[in-house]
Amino acid sequence: MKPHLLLLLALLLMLTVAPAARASGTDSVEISVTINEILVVEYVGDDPVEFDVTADDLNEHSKALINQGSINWWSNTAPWTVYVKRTCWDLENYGEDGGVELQVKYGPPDYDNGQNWQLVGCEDHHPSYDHDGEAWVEPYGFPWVFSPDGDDDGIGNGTFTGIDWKVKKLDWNIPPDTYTCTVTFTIAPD
Amino acid sequence: MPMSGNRLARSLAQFACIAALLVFIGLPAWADSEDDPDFYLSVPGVRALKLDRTSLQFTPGAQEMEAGWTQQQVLLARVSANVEWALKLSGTVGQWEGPWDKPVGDIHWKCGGGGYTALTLTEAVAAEGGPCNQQTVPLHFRIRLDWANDTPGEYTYSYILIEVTQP
Repeated sequence: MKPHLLLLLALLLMLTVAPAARASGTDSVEISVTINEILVVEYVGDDPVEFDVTADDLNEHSKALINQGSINWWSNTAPWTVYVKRTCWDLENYGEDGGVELQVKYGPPDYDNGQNWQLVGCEDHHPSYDHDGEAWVEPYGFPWVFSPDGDDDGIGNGTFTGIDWKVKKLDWNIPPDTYTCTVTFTIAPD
Repeated sequence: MPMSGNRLARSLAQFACIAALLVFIGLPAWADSEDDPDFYLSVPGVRALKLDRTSLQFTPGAQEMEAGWTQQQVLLARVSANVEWALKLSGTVGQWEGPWDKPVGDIHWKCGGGGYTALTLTEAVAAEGGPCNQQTVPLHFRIRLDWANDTPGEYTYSYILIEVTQP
């Protein structure tokens, strides 16, 4: 076949094919997800927690409320620590913060050997009994920590069960009244 | 034998008549083919697609992590076609780029009122239709999240192929 005939045939083919190439449309979209460090903690339980102090409690200088609630946590990063702090008691006429301590503990009762109670510090950081102003809860590695993926690595979500509360240093010289404070839980990366 | 004068004159007259006839008959025919061309319009089957944006950015918070899904985002596909068409989606790679090999199936999409479908590397038909001009097809996307796997970082999936082709 002569070259000019080949060229003509090629042109005809191009003219025939070109419309077909325009017969469809294509586009694309890119997807991106930015995941920041996310840590969440919440207390689930009675609110308020009420200590109904009796004469026996005053004589024993303490009163405990056992198994009052749970702390649920969620985190996509580790390690982390849950911090607990409170406002000072509203004891206007009973010295500085009233001298009454609040303690918190978690875990089943068999772990209650007296060593697991943590002092919940007043935000005013009363120096006589609260040198760091914060109690803490271990983030992971304790047998009662629940972790959904089973590896206790602190990533995922879980629950500190059996939150116990205790007031200490109760005394007969505390005037009858209702005293309140607000406890705050926070979770933060180590 | 030489042509006589009369005969030559007669031959010239005949030639002049034929030439005149050709001018009268042939030239108008030639002029017609030049000045009044025929028009040929060949309309191919054409399908065109335009997306209202080229990327979707998700920044999930704690509630979305807890729910296991990002909030949905809508991508608007505008289809123009003079023939029947189908809008199809497919992934192009099996994993995201990021802190871990997040699978393509964590991208879920839906079109219209149906449920969400996991994106795969195989084309899936999102919508179909006939000839139209700038018909809007909303494509809803959401991303599966998991506290334990989706550690902090940037995850990118490049890219989802969206085509409008024959059904």
